[in-house]
Amino acid sequence: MKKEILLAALLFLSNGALWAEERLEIVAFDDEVVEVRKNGKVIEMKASDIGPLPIAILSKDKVNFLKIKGKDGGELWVSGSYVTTSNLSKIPKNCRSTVISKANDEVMYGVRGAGEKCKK
Amino acid sequence: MVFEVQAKNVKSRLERPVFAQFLLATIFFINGCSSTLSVKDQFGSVFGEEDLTNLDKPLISHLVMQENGEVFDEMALSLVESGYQEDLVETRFAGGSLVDISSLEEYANKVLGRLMKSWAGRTIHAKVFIVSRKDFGGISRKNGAIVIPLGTFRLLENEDQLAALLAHELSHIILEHHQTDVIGFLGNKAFDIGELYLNLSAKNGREEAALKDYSQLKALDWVAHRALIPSWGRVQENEADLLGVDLMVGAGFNADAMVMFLKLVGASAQEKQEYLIKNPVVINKKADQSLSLNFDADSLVKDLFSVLDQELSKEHAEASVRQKKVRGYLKGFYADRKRSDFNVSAYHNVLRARSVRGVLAKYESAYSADELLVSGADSSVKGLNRASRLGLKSVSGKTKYDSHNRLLMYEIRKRQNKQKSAIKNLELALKSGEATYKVYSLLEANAYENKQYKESLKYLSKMKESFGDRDDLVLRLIRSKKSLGEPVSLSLKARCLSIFKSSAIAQCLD
Repeated sequence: MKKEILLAALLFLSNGALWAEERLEIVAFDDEVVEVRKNGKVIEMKASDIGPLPIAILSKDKVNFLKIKGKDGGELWVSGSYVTTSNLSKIPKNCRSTVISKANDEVMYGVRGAGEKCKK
Repeated sequence: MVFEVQAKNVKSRLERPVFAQFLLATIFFINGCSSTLSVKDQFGSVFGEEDLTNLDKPLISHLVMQENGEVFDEMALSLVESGYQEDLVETRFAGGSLVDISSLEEYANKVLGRLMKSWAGRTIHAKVFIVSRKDFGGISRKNGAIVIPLGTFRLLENEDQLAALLAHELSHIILEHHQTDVIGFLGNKAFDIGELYLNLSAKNGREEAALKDYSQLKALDWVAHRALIPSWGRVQENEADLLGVDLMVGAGFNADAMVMFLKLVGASAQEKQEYLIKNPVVINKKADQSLSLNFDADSLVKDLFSVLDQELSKEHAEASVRQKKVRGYLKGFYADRKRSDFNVSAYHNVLRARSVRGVLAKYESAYSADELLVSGADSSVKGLNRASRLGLKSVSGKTKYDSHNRLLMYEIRKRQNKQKSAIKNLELALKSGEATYKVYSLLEANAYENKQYKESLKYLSKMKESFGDRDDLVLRLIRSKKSLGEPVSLSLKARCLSIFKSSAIAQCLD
């Protein structure tokens, strides 16, 4: 019984850790000007005026506006359509495929990985 | 129950004769168009080929106006239904097996029905079908079938995003993009890809296989699938996005979901690209030499993966450009739109309904088994047994004969060196009467390898009956007839010579 309680506690804690790791952030602005909501009105704002990236997302409403802390420390709602969030973003790797190794009997084809330089 | 949706002709305010004629004349004068009223022709010349930045009003208004006064015959429902059946044959040819989840399909069709009501042009016939592939996306076929892989429902978050996907696909149909299907490099390679897949996957022992493992077969499956689905350029995709937005706004959906949908499109392309990075394709040249058909698998694979990578890169990059265009369009024409709450509950209620949940769980088992194999579980007995247990869960009840799940079991059994059981899985898939082309193809190859030439001819005849007289049957027919000592007709030889490139020509002849 004690073992089960311990396991449950560990599971709870590990879930908590996972949640912390997967906390959503705005990692990029998709346009120079983004839609934000202030006092119930949708207006436009320069992305550079919103704050340095990444920005933690505090909550999300039913029309996909994301609540964040603005530059001035106040609450700001940014349209989810104008930003890339951490769950949908991985660093793009747009190199062409290439022969990456060659042995006598095998040829390996692939695309270069993250951090590898692309030939220009 | 068959759920049929149709968009009826609705008299639009724009169709008032004098007003419409004035506007038409103005547009024709400005752009120097001819008076031919083909939507596609008009569209290209009115708005330019590169982008849609010069629109003076929503795209839908232009399109409906262009159709003003045209008479469209009501197509008999039987013809519509046979058109869908034709589309489904193409879908099965490309590896899609229908999923038996009527309530989910009905729900998707209701969403489609709402969108179609906001189209005031000619009558359009379209219907959603769900197939068991794990991919994300949708495909509209030329007769109006909109085919959605089940995996798509795992990623969409709400009804509005589903509406965005369907509005985009419906727009391809309205805009008659099938007449300008850009079948590029991959399309030309469809035969080679099919044969390559077959040869690489049909070998019994892993030591003999030309491709090293399951993850690589999977990448090849993507290439094969992509070669067999319609492919459009950037202009057509933009058009479908923007008309999709119009349809969504007209139907009362939150059109911001189109941007979110495009984000998922980009992320999905990126994920596949990363998969290719993690799973470089290794061709074993010794095994390559033992392939039953003679073609250069080495250079073919190099070409195919290069193209797939380029396409995925393009898709990912273009998804961002498309998002930007949609945002600009929303800002330009629908700045004061009502932003209704995304409908999460209706979407989730359907997915959670008992009848849907049970079937979804079976496919989830199949997808988990697939993921296990991809992660390399097939290199250990323990891993294979786990995959096998999951795979078995996926082939019971409503999914007993499902081609997708049976093909997975086939791959598992093959890796367990249980060849008979592997083949049994294919035979069970065939029992559904709706098996994919790959199932027939593997059974025929297996019969031929085991020198059961009459059996091979029987399968070839079934393939012709189910999928039509396709070019890729010709070589197989000739080789099986030769092995049986049967004469090969001159007409078959001539057809063979007309189809294949030099490396295969020797096989066309005695």
